[in-house]
Amino acid sequence: MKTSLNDHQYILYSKQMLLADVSEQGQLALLNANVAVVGVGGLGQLVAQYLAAAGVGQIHLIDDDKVALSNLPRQLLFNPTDIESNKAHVAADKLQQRNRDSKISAHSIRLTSDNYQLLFNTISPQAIFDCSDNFATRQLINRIAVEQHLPLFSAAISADQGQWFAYLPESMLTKIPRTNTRPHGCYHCVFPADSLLSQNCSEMGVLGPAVGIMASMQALAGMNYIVGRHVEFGVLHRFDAKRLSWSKATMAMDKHCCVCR
Amino acid sequence: MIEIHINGESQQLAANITLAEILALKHITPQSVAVVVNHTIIPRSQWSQHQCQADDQLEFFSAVSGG
Ligand SMILES: [Zn+2]
Repeated sequence: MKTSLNDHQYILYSKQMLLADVSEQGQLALLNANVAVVGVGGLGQLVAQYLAAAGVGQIHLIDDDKVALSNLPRQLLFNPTDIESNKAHVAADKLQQRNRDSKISAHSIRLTSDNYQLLFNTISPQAIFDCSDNFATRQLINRIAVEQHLPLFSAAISADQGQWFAYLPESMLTKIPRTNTRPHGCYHCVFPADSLLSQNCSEMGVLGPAVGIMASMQALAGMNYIVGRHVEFGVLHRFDAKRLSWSKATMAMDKHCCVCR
Repeated sequence: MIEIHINGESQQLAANITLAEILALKHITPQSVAVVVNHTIIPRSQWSQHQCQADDQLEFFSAVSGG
């Protein structure tokens, strides 16, 4: 546990600490933070870059996927020479070289209902970033957040429709006193597991900056949480990447939800 | 009849119509959408009981899962 900053860190993180409600205390919280990023594609590679560069102390990157040529226009961390290499490993190597204050771990596995308990018991993160690219994994991550009492920062985009939200399990509301945070619905309350998606995302197009916007929102929400700022949990934000417009709606709890109730 | 706004368009619908009835009327598969009523997402399990009021603002949208 770090309790003070060295001279180099004071200069390196000065712009973050100049924010009055971040200050040295918030920077120390970032340096002592331990988070999991599930999916190191368009969303995850940017979330990981922001978290590492901000000084988040421990970052676990989880992805079994390999870099592909068609990833390069939006996954700016990767180069043509990375094609066919595991995304978690490539990202961890690059981020580790650039960011000395972070310990970046690569887990080149596909998260499943069979392996998540062992993994999360081993890495014990304090927050999860859902940067995955499919509905089944999103349902699983939501379940993990509820079971392991972890705040969840989730973003998704297909074509021109982006969605992001922050979720705090009910079990954490009393442990982390935050004004205005009432019990709210989980991902499954909004989208039950038998939901039909309008599109298969792997077949959908997307523009790089649109992915970057969603990743930036989830990274920012997560950093606000870590430094102790108020975060609006239980609100689903939707982004229209054609009109560049936002809308939001409260995630009401489903009394019959089989995940969070 | 009451006036309800669905994805920004006004419609005249029977008083006390439920969300489930509106979806059926519009031939929308329930599993394919989330429903927002006045800026709150109403869980699917409540749609058959949730009665709409005059001037309600409804929105339907689907999950996206790409990343
Ligand atoms: Zn739930």
